[in-house]
Amino acid sequence: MGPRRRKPETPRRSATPRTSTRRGVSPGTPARQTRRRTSLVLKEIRKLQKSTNLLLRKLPFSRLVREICAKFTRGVDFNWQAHALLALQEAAEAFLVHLFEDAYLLSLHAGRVTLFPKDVQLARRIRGIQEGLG
Amino acid sequence: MEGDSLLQALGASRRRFQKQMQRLFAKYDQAFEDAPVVQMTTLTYQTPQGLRIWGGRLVKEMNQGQIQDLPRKMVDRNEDPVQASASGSPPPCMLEGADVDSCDMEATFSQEHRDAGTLEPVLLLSPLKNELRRKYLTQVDLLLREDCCAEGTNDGEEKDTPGALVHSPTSPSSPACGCNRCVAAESPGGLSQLPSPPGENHVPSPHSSDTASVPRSDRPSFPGACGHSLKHGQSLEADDSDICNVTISELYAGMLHSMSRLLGSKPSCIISTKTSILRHWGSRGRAKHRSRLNKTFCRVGRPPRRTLKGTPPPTSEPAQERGPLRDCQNLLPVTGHETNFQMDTALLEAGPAQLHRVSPVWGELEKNPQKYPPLARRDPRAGRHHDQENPYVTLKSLISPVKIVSKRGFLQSEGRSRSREIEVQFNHLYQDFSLHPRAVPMLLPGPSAVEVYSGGSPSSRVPPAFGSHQLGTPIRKTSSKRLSKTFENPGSGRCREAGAHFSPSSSKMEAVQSLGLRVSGTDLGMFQKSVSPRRTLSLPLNWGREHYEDIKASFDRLHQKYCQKSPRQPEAPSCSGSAPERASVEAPHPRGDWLGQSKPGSGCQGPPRLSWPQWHIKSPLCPTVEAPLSALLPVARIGPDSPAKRPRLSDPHGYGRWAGSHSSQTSRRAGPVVLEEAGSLSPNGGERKRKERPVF
Repeated sequence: MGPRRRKPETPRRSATPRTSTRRGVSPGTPARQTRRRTSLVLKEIRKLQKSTNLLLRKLPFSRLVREICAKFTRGVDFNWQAHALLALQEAAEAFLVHLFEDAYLLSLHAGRVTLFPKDVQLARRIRGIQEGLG
Repeated sequence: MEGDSLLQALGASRRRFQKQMQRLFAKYDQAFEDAPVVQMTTLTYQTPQGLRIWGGRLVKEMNQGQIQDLPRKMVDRNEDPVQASASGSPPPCMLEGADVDSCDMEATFSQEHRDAGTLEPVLLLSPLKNELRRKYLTQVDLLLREDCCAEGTNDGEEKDTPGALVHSPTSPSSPACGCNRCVAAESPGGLSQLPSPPGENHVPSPHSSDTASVPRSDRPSFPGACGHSLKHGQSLEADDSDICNVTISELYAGMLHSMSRLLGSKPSCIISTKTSILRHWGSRGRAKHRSRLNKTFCRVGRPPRRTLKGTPPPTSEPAQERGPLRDCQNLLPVTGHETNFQMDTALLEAGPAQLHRVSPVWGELEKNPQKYPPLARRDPRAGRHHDQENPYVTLKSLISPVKIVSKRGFLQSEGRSRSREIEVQFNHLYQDFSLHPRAVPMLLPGPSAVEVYSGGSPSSRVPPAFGSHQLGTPIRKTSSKRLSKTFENPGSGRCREAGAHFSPSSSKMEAVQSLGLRVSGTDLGMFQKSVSPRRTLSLPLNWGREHYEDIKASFDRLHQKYCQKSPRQPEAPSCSGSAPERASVEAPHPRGDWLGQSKPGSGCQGPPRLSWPQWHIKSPLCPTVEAPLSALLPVARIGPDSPAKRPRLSDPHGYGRWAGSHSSQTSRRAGPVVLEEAGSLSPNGGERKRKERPVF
C-alpha cells in the first residue's frame, strides 16, 4: 500500500496567534495583533477562494443526504453513485458560498463587518421564493 | 449610491454563481456508468482495496495476497478514485482491476470455499437490509434454479431469464450452464469479496441477530451442485456490478418467497424496515384522516334545549347544528329560535288563505310522514333553508305557538296523536272563523272584559284573540295605569289625552287601531277569523276578576255618591278646577261632576268615559254587545231629558250582573246614571265615544 496522501487540512485558528511564535517578533500592542489577525484572515480567504476542492466533509454530508433521501423514498435507502454525491455536494457548497456572499454584502451595506443571521434572511428574501426560500 | 453599489455587487455575485453552476452541469453531465455506487445504508463503496467508507478510511481490506499483487498504479489510482474523477480524469473502472485479478480472485475464492467454516463475511457492518437482500437473492436463485433445471441443462445459450441477474457483457467468462447463472444470483448485492457459503458452517454476520435467518435447508448448495467453482469467482466479480444494478422488481419474486418462508418458520418474527414503519405511519395517518373525513356529524341526539336557549351554534358548523338528520316532526325544535320568529311572523302575517293552503299540506304530512325524513338527511345548509321555506314548519308554529320544544318522545305515537288533535282543533277553528268572518275578536284590554262579557249573554261572549294574552299584557298594564290616572285627574289634560285616542270613524278596524294597539288590518282580520265567538280561550281570569271587582267597587262608590247628590244637580265644573276631586275615585260627587258636564264640547270629556273605559273599548269590537245594552237602555230610561242615545256597550253584562246582585233600586239608579252619563254626552256622545278611547 502506498503512502497515504495527506488530505488537505482545513485552516484552523490556533489558540495563540502565530505572531507570538515567531522569533524576534514582539507580541505587540493589541492593534498590531488585530492587524495581523486580519491579514491572516484575508490570506485564508484568498486561499480558499482560489481552491476548488470541496469544503465540507464527505461523510457528514452523505449522512445528511441519506436522511433527506429517506424522506422522499419512504425509508428505503437507495444507492447513490459516487459522482451523484459529489455533484450534489458541489452544488450545495456553491449555493452556500453564493448565499454568504450576498449576506456579507448586505452586512457591509449596513455598516457592519460581522455577518448576522438577519443578513442571511434578507438575502434569501431578496432572491425571491424560488431562489431564496426554495 | 450605496444601494446601487449593493445591487451591482449582488448582480455580480449572481453571475458568478450562475457560471459556477453551469460548470458543474457540464462536469457532471456524463453517465458515469462505471462509477462506484455508495450504499447509503452503510455509506460505503467498493474499491479494489476493499470496502471503503465514503469520505473515510478503508473499512475492510481485501485479502492481503490480493492487495499485494495489485499494481501500485492501481492502488494509487484507487486511493481516491472519486476525487480524481472530480478533478477531471476519468475514474478507473472497477472491473479492470477485477479483470486483472481474476485469477487471483478465483484462487482466493476456492480457498475460501475450502475453508468455509473459518470464513467470515467481509462485511462486518452488514446491516439488516443487506442480509435481507442476500436472502432474497438466494431465494431468487432457488426459484430460478428450479426453472432452469426443469428446462434442461443443455441450454447452453445465454438466455436472459427474467429472474437471472443481468450478465455483465464485460465479464470474461459466461457461464455455460444455466445453473451458473443461478449461482451467480446467489451472490449478495454489492459483496464482491466472498459470498457467504451457504451450507453447513455459515457464520451469520454479527448484525444479523435481528433478522430471521433463512433456514439452511432453503439455502442452495453452493458450487458443489453446479461444479463450476472456478468460474464462480469470475461470475461473482462480474456480477458485482450486476448485483448493484439489480432492481427491486427483479428481486420481488424472491422477496415474496423468502418472506413467506420466514413468516412460516417464525411467525413472530418482525421483518420491519424503515419503509414499513413509515408506510405504516403514513397509512395510519391517512386512515385517520379518512375516518375523520367520513364522519357525518349527527346531532339528532342533542336535546332541543340548546336551540330553546337561543344560543347560536358554533360557527364552524352552524348548519350542522341545525341537525339535518332529523325527521319532519323534529323540524321545529331543531330550527330553534328561527322557529320562534317564524311563528310570530306567521301569526301576524299569515292570512286565512295561507292557512287554508297549509292545511292540506298538513294532511299530507300526517299521512306520509316518511316523505320528509329523507329531507332531513340532506346537506345541512340545504336543510336549513328548506325548513325555513317548508310550510309544514309554519303550520306547526301556527298550531302550537307556545310549544316550540319537543323532545324525542314527541316523535312517538303520542306526539303524533297530539298533533292530529291540534290539527283537528285548528281546522275547526278555521272553519268557524271562515263562516263568521265578521266575528271581531275582542282585543283584550284586560281579562276583566272577558269576565264582564262572560257574565252576560253567552252570545256576547267574545273571547280574546288568539294569542292575545301576549297582547293583552301590555294593554292591561296601560289600561290600569290610565284608569288610575283618569280617576285621579278626571278633569286634567290627561282626559283630553285619553279622549284623543278616540277616533271619530265608525269602522271597527279604526276603532281598534285608535286604542293604540297598533295592529294591522290584516292582523285584525286574522284575529277575527281565528277567534271563535263561541269559545273562550284560557285567560288569566284571576286578574280579570280582581280588576273587575276593583272597577265594580269604584263604580259602587261613585254611584252612591251620585245618588246622594242627585237632587243637587251640581254645576258643570271646570276640568282644571275640580280635577283633583273628580280624579279620585272616591270623590264624593264625581257623578255630579260628570252629569254637570252634559254640554257637548265641554272641556272635560273624560270621567264618564274614563270610569268605564272598558265599555268604550269593547263597543266597537263586540257588536253583539250592543244588543243587550240597547235592550237595557229603553228600560233604564226614566228622565224625559235623556234623549235617545247611541247604545253604549258600557258594561251590559257586568251591568246586568250588578243589577242582579244589587237591589232593584240600585239598578234603577244605575239606569238613569247610565242614561245620564250617556245623555251627558248625548249630542256628541257617539263622537266622543269614538274620540275618547281611554287607553289603558
